[in-house]
Amino acid sequence: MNPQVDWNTVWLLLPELLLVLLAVWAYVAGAFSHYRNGSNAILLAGLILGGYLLTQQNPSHGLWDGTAVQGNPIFSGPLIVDPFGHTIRWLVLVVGGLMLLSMWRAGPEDLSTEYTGSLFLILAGLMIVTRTDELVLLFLGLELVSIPTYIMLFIGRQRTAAHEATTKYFYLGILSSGLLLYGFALLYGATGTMQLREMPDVLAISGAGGGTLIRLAPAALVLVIAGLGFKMAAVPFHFYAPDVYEGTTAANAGLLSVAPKIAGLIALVRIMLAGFMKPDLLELGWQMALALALMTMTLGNVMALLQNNVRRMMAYSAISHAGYLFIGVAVALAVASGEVSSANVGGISAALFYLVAYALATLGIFATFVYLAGADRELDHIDELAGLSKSRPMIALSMTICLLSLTGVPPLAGFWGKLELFFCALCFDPKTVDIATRNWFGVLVIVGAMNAAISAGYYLRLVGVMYFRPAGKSVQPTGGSGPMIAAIASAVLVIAIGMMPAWFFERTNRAAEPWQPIVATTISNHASEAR
Amino acid sequence: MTIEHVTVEALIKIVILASGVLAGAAWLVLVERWMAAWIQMRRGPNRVGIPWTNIRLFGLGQPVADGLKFIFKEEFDPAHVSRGIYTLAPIIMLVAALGVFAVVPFGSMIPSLGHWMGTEPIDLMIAPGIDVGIIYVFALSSLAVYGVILGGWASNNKYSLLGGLRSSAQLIAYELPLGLGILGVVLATGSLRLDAIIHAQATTGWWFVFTQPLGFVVFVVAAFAEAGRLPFDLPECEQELVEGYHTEYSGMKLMLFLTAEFIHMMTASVLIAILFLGGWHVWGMTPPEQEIGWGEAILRVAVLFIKTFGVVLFFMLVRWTWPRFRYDQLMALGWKVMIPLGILNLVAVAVLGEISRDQYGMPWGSLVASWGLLMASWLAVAWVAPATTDNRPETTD
Amino acid sequence: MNLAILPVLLLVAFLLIVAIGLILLGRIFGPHRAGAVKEMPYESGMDPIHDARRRFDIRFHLVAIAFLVFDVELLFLYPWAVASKSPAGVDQAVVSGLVVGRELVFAGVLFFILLLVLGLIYDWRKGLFRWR
Repeated sequence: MNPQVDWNTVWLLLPELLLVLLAVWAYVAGAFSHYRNGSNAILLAGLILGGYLLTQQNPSHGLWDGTAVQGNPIFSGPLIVDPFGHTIRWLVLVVGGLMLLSMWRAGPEDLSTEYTGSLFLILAGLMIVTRTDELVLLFLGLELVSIPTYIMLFIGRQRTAAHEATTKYFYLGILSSGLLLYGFALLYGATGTMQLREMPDVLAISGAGGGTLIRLAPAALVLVIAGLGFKMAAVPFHFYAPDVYEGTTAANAGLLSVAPKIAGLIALVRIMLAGFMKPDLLELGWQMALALALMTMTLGNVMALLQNNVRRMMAYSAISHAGYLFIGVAVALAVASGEVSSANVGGISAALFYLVAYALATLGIFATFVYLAGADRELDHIDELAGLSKSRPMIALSMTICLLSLTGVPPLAGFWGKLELFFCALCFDPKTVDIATRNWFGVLVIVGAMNAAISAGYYLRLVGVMYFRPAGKSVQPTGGSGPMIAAIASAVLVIAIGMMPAWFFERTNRAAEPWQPIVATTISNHASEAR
Repeated sequence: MTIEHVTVEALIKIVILASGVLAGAAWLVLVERWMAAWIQMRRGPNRVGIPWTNIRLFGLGQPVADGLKFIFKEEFDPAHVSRGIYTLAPIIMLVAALGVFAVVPFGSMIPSLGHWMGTEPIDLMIAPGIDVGIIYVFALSSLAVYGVILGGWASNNKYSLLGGLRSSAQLIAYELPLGLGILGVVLATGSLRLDAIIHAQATTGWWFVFTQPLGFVVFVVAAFAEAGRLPFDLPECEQELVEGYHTEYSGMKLMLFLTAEFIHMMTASVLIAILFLGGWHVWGMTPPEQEIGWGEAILRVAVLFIKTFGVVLFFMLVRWTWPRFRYDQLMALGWKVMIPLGILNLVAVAVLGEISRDQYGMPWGSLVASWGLLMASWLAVAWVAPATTDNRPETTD
Repeated sequence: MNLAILPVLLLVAFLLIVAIGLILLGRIFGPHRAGAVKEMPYESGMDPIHDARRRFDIRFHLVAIAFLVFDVELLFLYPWAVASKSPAGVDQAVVSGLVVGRELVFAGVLFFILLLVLGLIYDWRKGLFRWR
């Protein structure tokens, strides 16, 4: 059972190592030269090299020395190699490329490489979160996402409001890390192992006998969901988001609306569906996720209607989309708890698809804001967008596409994501499902659909301002070509996913495969048989 | 070994050690004053002998008189200090300074003392069971920073605060090269225990001063800075900061500070003797056999004490012959010279050790390489920062 | 019960008693005379203008942070330094199949030291060690 560390481990970690090395290179080189275009070009080339490495590391292809992935001793260590992690790594690389483009000229000149270097550390942290099966490494990955975020928020803009936003985010960030760590500690106390995959057996065995520490497990579950809820800005933990988004730059707001959400969702899926695999815990889990989804969607969308500041509006929009992601989580947990069975693809696949659609569209919108704002000033009020369709038709079009995708207008990616989520929450097997459970999920879908309608209100308001309001204060786009490329590329990707959703559904289904057949009761049965 | 057994044995060792070290510190102060007098061509303290007689004993009574004087001086807490921390700081200093000796072996072992003590030979170390050895030393000597910064802050005096800040910055800056020097030794030994480190040098016959000369230089310089001895005595420079962090101290608390600083120097000397100068080992005189009789045991203790005393004399000689660094020079030396050299030494020891892993002892190739490294780094430092350039502090960014 | 730590605790207790006892000794035998001037902070005879507890140079803070980073990195090297030579260390791990070979451990440590050096270079170039 000993984890054998060999060169395969290094090989499997090569993309992460590449990102970390690029980050370190950026820091050190930035201490010698402030030539921003050069360093950004090298970082972009590094991302492309990372993409090449990922094509070589497809889990179905085996390891570099030809041995199969399945049954490899690496699987008993903290690393996990599965299609889920692999898919998320691709998402992280694409998101990282878009963010790098939109941050091409962000930050002050003498700290620009600190800025991009921190971005690469965040990407490496995201990759580590997707690939770990152990509490310690998971926490390290999450911190590798959080801590560089504080740095980026601070150096993004030297202004009082920005520093206030940084301080707010910093304190709430370390609070959420503390909650999460407390939850991990209780989980470790309850199970006696750091390995997520060993936890269900322990939980199943000691639940039947007199193990008293097992009673810590529900508390651990609540703390973990709370800590990750902070990262995803789900509703009772969302208070920081509007102020922070408003205070910081558009590029930073784009980062905040994507990176912590990816990290939070992946960590939640990993912990809940590997660690807490016990029917009663999962029941508590899906009920919490369902409640969070209802509150988050509704509050986020309603509050967004009232905003006039674009970044504040997008902050509430990001909150509401976290609620949609929780629909998928709730369905997956309910299925895993064995209360319902579903013939459908399941919640994980739907949430993953939604995450991709959301991340691309949101980054496109924030890239547009960066492009329209520039280094010295920010785009604040919605009215500043007026007349954009005349002055910059391409940008107005790409932003409209992203906004429509977030609303859920049919041929675009967001539509398929919402459809998939609602579909998976409705298609339970009627023989197994309990009426109350079914009704709850029915309510969830109805509220989700209503919220999609509400969200159309403020997304279309932006579109209306761009197309039908005559230009008042004319906006001088000073952001440069990087953000423009990022905005247009996001729109193109959103259209591409919308045009051929089947190809992407296949990918996300395959990524969610590890959890497809698993139901907690079967694991518990195995454990009790083994005992 | 029962708990009573361990307690009694430890208490006996503790009393002997504490009184020995404190008394040693007192008379070493006398030695230091003699040496100062000798270097400055004057007579040192030579009057205090046995009271009410005319017997002067070369001034050997001086430390007793000093101690009595401290007892009868006023123990004064000024109104503006934070009293709790103000009192705590010198206590922390003394405990940290003397607590280090728990894992320091004085010689190696003495044979069993008979029935009650059991039949096993006795380790000349207070806590022979502690395996972390050198890390414990490192940890406790880092605690000295707390004594300095707490004393400087609690005094609520500008001199003290500045002295405390400077001192803590200096101590933490030189703790890194200290740790790097120790790492090289640990890497060559494979153990953190100080007696194991001596034994490793005794069995091969190669003291680490010969095999890791660069590490030795780095460690000695860092040890001087950690002890706050003269080229690095900025924390308490009399002329600028009026004794730095103990400006506001008087009476017995001041004595605790001064004693603790002196004990730091003794600790540094013992560590240099043990880590790099072979401890109790001398070729031909004290071979590393395990079974030892009384003669062998006493010889080892004597050898270690002579080496330590030699290093202490070196400390004093440096104190009375070198001028003080300027603060920016001090920090530059620590961060820009000593830490890179320490890392260089660590990498060199690691690489050479990995290359010559299967051979016994010290192959000549590695020896030449490590001395060549010392010469190369000396030349490099001299090239980058020659002693004759204008070394005024930079005034622009 | 592990008795190895007991002598250390005894030593620390003994030293605490000695230190506090010495202070008490001075308090008992020394004189006690207060005075308005004696209670003032000593500033070479001048009246102090304000409290000593004010803001001081941020540089000390930066050096302290740099120290923390490097010191913790050094502490990570100690386990390797012990395991590299001792028979129950790396060699044992290689034999029992925990690690594929000494080279991997060595390469990992060199990579770690490289990061340490890069951190030092970064701090140096950013002017952290420049005092004037």
